[in-house]
Amino acid sequence: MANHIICCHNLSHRYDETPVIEGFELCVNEGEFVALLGRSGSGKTTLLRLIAGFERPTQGTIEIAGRLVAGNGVFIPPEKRRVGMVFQDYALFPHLTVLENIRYGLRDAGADKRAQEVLELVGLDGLADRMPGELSGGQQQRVALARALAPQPAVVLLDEPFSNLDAGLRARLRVELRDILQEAGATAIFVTHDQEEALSLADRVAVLRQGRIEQFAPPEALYRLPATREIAEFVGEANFVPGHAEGDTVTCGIGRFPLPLCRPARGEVDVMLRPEWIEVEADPQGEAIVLRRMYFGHDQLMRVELPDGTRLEVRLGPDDSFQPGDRVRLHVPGPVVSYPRQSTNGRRASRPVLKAEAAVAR
Amino acid sequence: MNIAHWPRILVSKLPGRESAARVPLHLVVPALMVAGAMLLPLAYLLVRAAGADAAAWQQLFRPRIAEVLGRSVLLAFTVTLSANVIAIPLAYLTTRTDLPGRRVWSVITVLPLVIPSYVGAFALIAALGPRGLLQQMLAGPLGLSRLPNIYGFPGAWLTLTLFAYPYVLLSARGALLGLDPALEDAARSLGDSPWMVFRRVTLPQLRPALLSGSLLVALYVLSDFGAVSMLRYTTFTRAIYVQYSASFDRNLAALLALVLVAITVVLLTAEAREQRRARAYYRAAARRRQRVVRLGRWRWPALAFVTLIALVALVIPLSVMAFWLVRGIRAGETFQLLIGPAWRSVLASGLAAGAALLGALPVGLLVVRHGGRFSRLIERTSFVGYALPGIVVALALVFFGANFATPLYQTLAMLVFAYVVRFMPQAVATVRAALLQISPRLEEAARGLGARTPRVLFTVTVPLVRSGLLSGAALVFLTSMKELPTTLLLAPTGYDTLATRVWSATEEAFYARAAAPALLLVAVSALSIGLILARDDAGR
Repeated sequence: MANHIICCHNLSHRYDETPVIEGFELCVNEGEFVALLGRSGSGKTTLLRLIAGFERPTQGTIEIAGRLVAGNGVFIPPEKRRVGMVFQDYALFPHLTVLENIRYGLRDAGADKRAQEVLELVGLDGLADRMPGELSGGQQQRVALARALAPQPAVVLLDEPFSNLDAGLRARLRVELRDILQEAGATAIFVTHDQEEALSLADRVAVLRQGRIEQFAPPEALYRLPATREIAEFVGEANFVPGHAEGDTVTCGIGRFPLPLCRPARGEVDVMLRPEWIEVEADPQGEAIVLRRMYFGHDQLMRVELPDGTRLEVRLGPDDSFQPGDRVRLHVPGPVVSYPRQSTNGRRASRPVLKAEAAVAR
Repeated sequence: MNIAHWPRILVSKLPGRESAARVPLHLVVPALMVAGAMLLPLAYLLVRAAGADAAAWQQLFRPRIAEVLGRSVLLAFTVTLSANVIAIPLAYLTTRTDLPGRRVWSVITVLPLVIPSYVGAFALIAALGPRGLLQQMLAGPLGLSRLPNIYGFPGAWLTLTLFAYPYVLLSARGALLGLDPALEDAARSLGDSPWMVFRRVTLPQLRPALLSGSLLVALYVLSDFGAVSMLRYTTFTRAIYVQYSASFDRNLAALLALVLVAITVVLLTAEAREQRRARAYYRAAARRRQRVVRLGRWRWPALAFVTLIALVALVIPLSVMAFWLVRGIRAGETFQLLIGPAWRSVLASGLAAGAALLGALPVGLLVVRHGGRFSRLIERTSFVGYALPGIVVALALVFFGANFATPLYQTLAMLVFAYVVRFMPQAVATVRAALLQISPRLEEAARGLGARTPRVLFTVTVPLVRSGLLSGAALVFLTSMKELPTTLLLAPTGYDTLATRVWSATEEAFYARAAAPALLLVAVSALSIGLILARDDAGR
């Protein structure tokens, strides 16, 4: 079992009597890159600030590198926690040069050398004497990262690191950031509301909703086996088809499919199908009709209607050519995921305990 | 920089075509008008000085004059230093910590600004001087008949420090409230204790505000007349006054005044050089919630400090005045005579505050948004009026009024104009400090959304600097209410204000008669300060 760098147990935080985070459980391994994904108000920034030490939890404990930093009567202030933080607006000291910013948290004799090293690591060689105000957004972000990394913290916390950058820059910098952190051997937790970012960069993603973790899993598990309907819709496109489940299989308008061993179900359900899971064949006797088609070059998106009126989005490769009005037959290789039908059962309140997922996550 | 170079600077810093094109007309025209008005008294001085003969120039270099110069500089320097030493901790305690009764202390610590220096000096003398309260209290039981001498430097330093430190305090408070809290969080995450954060991150960012405030204090000291006269510490202003009133030859006085102006220019140049570096726009954390620092057991020393300052700068002077008031009432003084002077004070000061704000906004915008040599020149020019002692401005305008603008001579308009010439720089300094904290991106965003300049100004810039503008206006109002020499010389006949009442009563040693208008002045001024701070807090 890998080393836990951060461990939060039963963490709760209240702000003016309103609970922001409740019963939070999170353990991050050394060298891992974890994303906290959620909409605004989900508590993700609060969690970051709790770990960094800028807020005190009302309940629960936080451990960093095996040391208790908050909870059970203990509270270690932020300056003693060895946590590096990259703020959303970078918070570079405007009165210091780039190198002085990076060197800020270093106190030993080798400070200058280390600062220069980190400056090179983030690829900003030669900008040591500039002032933060003279740099572009991407450069500022890298200085902020370098500054956080220089003191070799136990963990680096990033608060929506890409939200201040334009889209084109974002895509490029994401990868660079990931590479820099990997090369530095750092453990990192970053907060975002962008699911694409979370899925593409993180080793594991924790989806937050209203102060609770709804699912904490690698991106593949999150995408293929989302714990709730909301997560399913949040992390990607999702089609829902009404069906009937009996333990390890489910029957719906398209056919009969296996359910994953870890997600059995019974009764009336909605089956979740990702657009790329659905295979389409031309069939004059087919029951589904193509409604429209959007061609993107590298793939295409088709809308198909089932006899019972359900509409599905289907993603195909560039070579198929269906026209609106064509009759087709649909097939899904399976397995699929299902959720209780909303009109009958309401939402599932808690995250289901999944043995298979747990094995993967550890 | 000596006087001979002054004309050359005016000429050499004219903008080239490029920079003129960048500076918008709607700012330049009012700024130029303001600068022109400010230069009027200086022009008079130059004219007079040009009329001085060789003998007058000779007198300028007497050792006694050097002594006087030394005293002025020493006083200005030490008072500025001590004002900062008092104001910075006060600003921090009242804006950033969980000091008990923080809101109340915020108001109280700024209040000494309402006490005119000459009133404060009077209180000091009446409390600690020979035949003062303290001596009367101690003489009986302890048989003391001599107390440490409060005249001269110690008394002048103490009085001016206690009543001028609020300039730095207001500036520092405004800056502290506008700082980006993320910077301090970042410093803490990098290992700094709260004290180190203050030293390494907060304090450097306060520098522009501290410099602005310190400049105001230094200029205040250099041009103070009432307090140093009463405490018998002869600085330049007193020397000038003596020359003006004692001799028919006013040309020497003009020369002396020009030396004072030269000192001011040196100060301004040094400060401007520092401000240039600070023009990096600090992030607009406009009204973001500031983190509160817990004092813990430091609470008691902090409270002791704040109480001490409040006592010495506020409670004691007021008590002394109250004492004399009571004495006066017992002796049968009436107060309905006060209504007239009170109203006249408020009217003149209110008009001056409004006019100063109108003048300060374009100058402030010009300097902060379009910084360049031209803008800095305009700004420096507007400070000239502040540097000139009230007496000089007043006499310059008397000359101007009597000889060139007879209809305006001895009118309220002339008095208000004199106030504006003298005190507008205070508004400029606070407007500038407030503008520095707003990112120009906000104005650009408004422009991008189609708003034209007046709309941008009124819907974006002004609301965001509102508390800075109000501070500026309140400061001008306040200082105008307190202003003495200018009022003495320029007010229309019979237009006496509260300040002139206090002065004339004190001159005649009618302390009881001085007490009531003095207290009234203090009360009115207290209201305006309370107003600014209430807005400051509401914006938090």
